[in-house]
Amino acid sequence: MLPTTLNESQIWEALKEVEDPEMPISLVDMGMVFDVSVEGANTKIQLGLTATACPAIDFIFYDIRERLKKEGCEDIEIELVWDPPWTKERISEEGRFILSTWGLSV
Amino acid sequence: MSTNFETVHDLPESCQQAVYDLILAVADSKHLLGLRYGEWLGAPVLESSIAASAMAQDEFGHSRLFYSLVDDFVQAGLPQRQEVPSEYRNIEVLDQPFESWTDFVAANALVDAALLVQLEAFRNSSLMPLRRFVPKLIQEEVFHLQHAQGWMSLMTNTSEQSRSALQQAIRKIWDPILCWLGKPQSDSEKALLGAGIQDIDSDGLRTRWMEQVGPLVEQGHLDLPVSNDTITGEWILGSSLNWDGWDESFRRASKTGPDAETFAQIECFSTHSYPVGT
Repeated sequence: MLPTTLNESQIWEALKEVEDPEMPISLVDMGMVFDVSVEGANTKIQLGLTATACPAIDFIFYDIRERLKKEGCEDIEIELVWDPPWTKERISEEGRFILSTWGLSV
Repeated sequence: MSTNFETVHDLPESCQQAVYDLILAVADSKHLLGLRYGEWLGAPVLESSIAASAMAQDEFGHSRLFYSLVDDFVQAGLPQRQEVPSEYRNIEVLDQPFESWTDFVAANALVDAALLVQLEAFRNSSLMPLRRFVPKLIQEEVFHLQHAQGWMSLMTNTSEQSRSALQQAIRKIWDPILCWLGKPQSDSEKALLGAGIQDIDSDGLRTRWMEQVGPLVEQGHLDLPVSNDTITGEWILGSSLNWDGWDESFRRASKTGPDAETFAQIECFSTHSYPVGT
């Protein structure tokens, strides 16, 4: 597939299909995607982790790359951000609803 | 207003070594504290086994971030630390495993409090990569002290035997922890304050530490050299610290590092040669 350039909202849509490895909701609903920017062929994702010792970093990076490659993105940069820190307030309404149906209170 | 530094490369040469020393001392101490917490998955109650494992995970995560800064220093030209025990800069009381659950609780209260007040002093640091991740670490530390407080109150209220065992365990580690917060008026302290890496001097850090630990000592009627001035409300250290043989760059009086068994464990992580199970 030829490299394509998606706009930022298309990237957000694609990331809504990448699940958190430990929770049954997407990274976007978990509030872990802090920013998306597209410049030419380069796609940059700013990602915040729920914990500094997140044992699933590699899975998350892999899943993001695989999903965006399907859209034809090749030059994908993922940057970890700690400022501001992730807090559970960042979980979306939809995310909260799904978690509650799994018996998790937020 | 002091200058902010976007990377460790931007630090003035005059303070680079002092910053590197402190960052490595925090990294090694958190790494070793994580190992020690992790050794207690058989705590007296299930809840504390889970807490020990969660606290171990936090400490490992924090050391990972501090080690990433250490790597930046190495890239900026500072020598890579040799992987031998004598080069480790962890707080001395973590060299050996805790001998008892009482030792665990004492370290949980005193060591974690020391690392926390050091993190708090980095909140407004001029070193931006450090300043950016520090709030997340402090957020994760909140329950560590709650856990220690709960156990200290239990141990000091239930029996004289457990109260005096705790008092003894705390006495054993008291001085090295207070010294770890830094030697007053040392060159490295001047460099750290001058460059705005931390916003408070070592005596200030000790005061903040006493504000955390003092009330627990008082509530538990523990006989330790700290008291509260009833007029000013300030916590005062009742003994002077012994700096004989103290190496400020290592923040240790002895350069033995972790014991052989512990070091073998650390080594197998870095060489990926894991012991075969029995």
